[in-house]
Amino acid sequence: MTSLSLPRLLRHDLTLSWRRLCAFLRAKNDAQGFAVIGAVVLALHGAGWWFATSLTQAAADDGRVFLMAAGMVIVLPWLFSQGLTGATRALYSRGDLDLLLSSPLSPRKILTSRALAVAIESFGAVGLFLLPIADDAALQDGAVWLAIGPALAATVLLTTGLALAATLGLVALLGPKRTRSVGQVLATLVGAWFVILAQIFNFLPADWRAALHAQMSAPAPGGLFDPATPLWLPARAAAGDSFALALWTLLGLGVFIASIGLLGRAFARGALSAAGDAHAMPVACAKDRGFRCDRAGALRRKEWRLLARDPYLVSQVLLQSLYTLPIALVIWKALGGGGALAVSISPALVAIAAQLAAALAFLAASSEQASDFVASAPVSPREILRRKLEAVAAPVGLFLALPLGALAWVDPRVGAITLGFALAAAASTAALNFWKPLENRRGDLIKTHAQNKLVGLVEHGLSLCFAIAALLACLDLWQTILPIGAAMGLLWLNAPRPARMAPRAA
Amino acid sequence: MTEQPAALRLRNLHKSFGKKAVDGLDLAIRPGEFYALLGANGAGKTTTLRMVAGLLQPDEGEIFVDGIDARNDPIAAKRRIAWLPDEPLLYDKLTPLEYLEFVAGLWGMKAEEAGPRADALLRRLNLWEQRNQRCEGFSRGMRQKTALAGALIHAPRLLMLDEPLTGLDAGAARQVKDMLAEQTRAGVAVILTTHILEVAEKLADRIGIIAEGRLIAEGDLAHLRSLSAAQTASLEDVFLDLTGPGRHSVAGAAA
Repeated sequence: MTSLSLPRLLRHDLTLSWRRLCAFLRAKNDAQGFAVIGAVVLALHGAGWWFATSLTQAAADDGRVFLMAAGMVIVLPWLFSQGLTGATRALYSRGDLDLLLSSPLSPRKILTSRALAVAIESFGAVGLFLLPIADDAALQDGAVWLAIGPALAATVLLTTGLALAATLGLVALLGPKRTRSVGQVLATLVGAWFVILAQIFNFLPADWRAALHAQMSAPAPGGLFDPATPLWLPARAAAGDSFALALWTLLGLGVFIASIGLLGRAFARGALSAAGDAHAMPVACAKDRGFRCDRAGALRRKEWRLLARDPYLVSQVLLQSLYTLPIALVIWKALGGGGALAVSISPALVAIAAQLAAALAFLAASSEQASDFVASAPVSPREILRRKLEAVAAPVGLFLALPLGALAWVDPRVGAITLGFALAAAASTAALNFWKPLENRRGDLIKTHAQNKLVGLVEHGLSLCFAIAALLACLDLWQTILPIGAAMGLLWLNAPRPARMAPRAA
Repeated sequence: MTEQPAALRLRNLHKSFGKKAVDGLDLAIRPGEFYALLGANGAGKTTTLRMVAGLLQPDEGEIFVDGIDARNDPIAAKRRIAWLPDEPLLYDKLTPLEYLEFVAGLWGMKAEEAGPRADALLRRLNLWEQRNQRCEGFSRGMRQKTALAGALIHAPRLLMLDEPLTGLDAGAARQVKDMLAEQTRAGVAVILTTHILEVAEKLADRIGIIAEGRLIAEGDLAHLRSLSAAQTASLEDVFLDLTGPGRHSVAGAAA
């Protein structure tokens, strides 16, 4: 009797990936999933047409290699982040992995299949956005643009191999327990890097950009901007240089195969230690001390402890703030830079307050792990809600205290306006999440908007309204009342109406 | 001398989820009584307990806990109740000690009373060594014992347990049974649902059998046997006999 072949094992892993995607897309069956993906691909081909036009134009002006280099700076961390997420999931997806590791399959075969599945997932996630643009560019400017596809595939192999090595290195270095959190946080941070990088060139001062442009136009031989150097190999590959593409593909394949060949046993060891960790007794994390039994404090402390002990969630929440920073830069640039810094930071801080409060309110309200237990306690729902709001407000306040203080020191009027709007924005998005709770696990924080698009839209709408209102108020414009009115309208539309208790089957 | 109120009294309790889940249930449990509520899956046991715990609104009927109308004053009623569902309601990221501190806070206990009581419960349930470890790595049995400690810390007058022995090893099950017996001796009323009929047979003062939301038989084992064909039958035989197809019309049999 022979054990499962690699193609069949890969098919199994890809089926699981596909089912996860269908669940994310809320597709009820495979046909619906294909239909949704097909529609998205078609729509992206349509939407990407004008972008492809500007790309081909830019390529004609600046050279395709420089354009591809800029793209690679963004895509490489994105793919590495995808690889890290996939590798962490591969190590910690218990039920399935326990079954595979207890079977007569070799660890290397399991790792090969998992790694290929991770690579295919990453290719799909990034290719979904890039390849339609490449197709459009090819239609407009020639088939050379199609080289982006194989270059992307080679990049995926390289980053997946590196991500696997990094994850298993973390297991060896930090142990399985910490690797999970650190790996997820690292993946998110690396992923965020591409968002910042995507914007950074636009935000550089004009003289910096000019200098950079001059260096790229006439690069010093062997220097950082010389496309002939090995550093530019991926860019040349994506730009359609056949020799570079062949080399890049060989490099990607080599790293991927080497990582599987060298790490097969380490993967099995890592997976087994991760499994052991799931069943192991956790280390002590608190010291004996006196009991504190005030009801309000008990409710608040519980929320803070749960938040503080989930570094992945905290990183997700803080990353939302990171994504908000480009807004400040856009406004700062729009206002002409220089002394307008305080005014440009104000809406960003308001938006951060709104997003942080929303995320923390979701964690406190929707992902209550023992909601029935809390409901059975002799505490009114109103008090529970109040204490949870307090618990949410404290970390938001703590996080924003320093930038708000700095803002008030630079410009007290702008500081006061920002504080007022930040409070209003935080209270409104927190209230929205308490009014429209989603029954979700804490780890599903980033999926909440996909699951309830209306709440997500309203939440972003509220953030935007209060951020715009803060900006207009800082500029002393009467139009401030318009976004405030819009925010009030959104809140009124979503305020709770008399509701009955949800039935629950016996 | 005034008569002590029933620890739990249900009158004509109704609940429907489209289909009737609880259908005119009457029940009275005395302080210090160990009452086993038996029934097939979907008979209405959990729905009944959830209504008493204040997690579901009855469509009709009355619930009195220790003489307090739970529908009019749910907070006062909840102060006297502890509810332990079949799936322990714990926080993975909290330690047992922190969990008990949280529960004591929710029930408004005094710190000087709650601290020693938590220590005693954790020692008694063999959780002392793990008191500062997070619950996320606990076995099912340890989670169940932690939840039981949470249920007992605020000294309830009515203890409601839904399948409390599921997943416990023999030693832990014995510990839990001993603790429940102690509770009844201290005057706490215990209402327990279980599919392990041997537990009900050995521990319960009275047994209620529920089917399709109605109490079809109630009494001690001898009384239930008298309702069944075989006088020397085990509780399992009696239960299967009374809840078998076409046998739900013994409502008048409640003693």
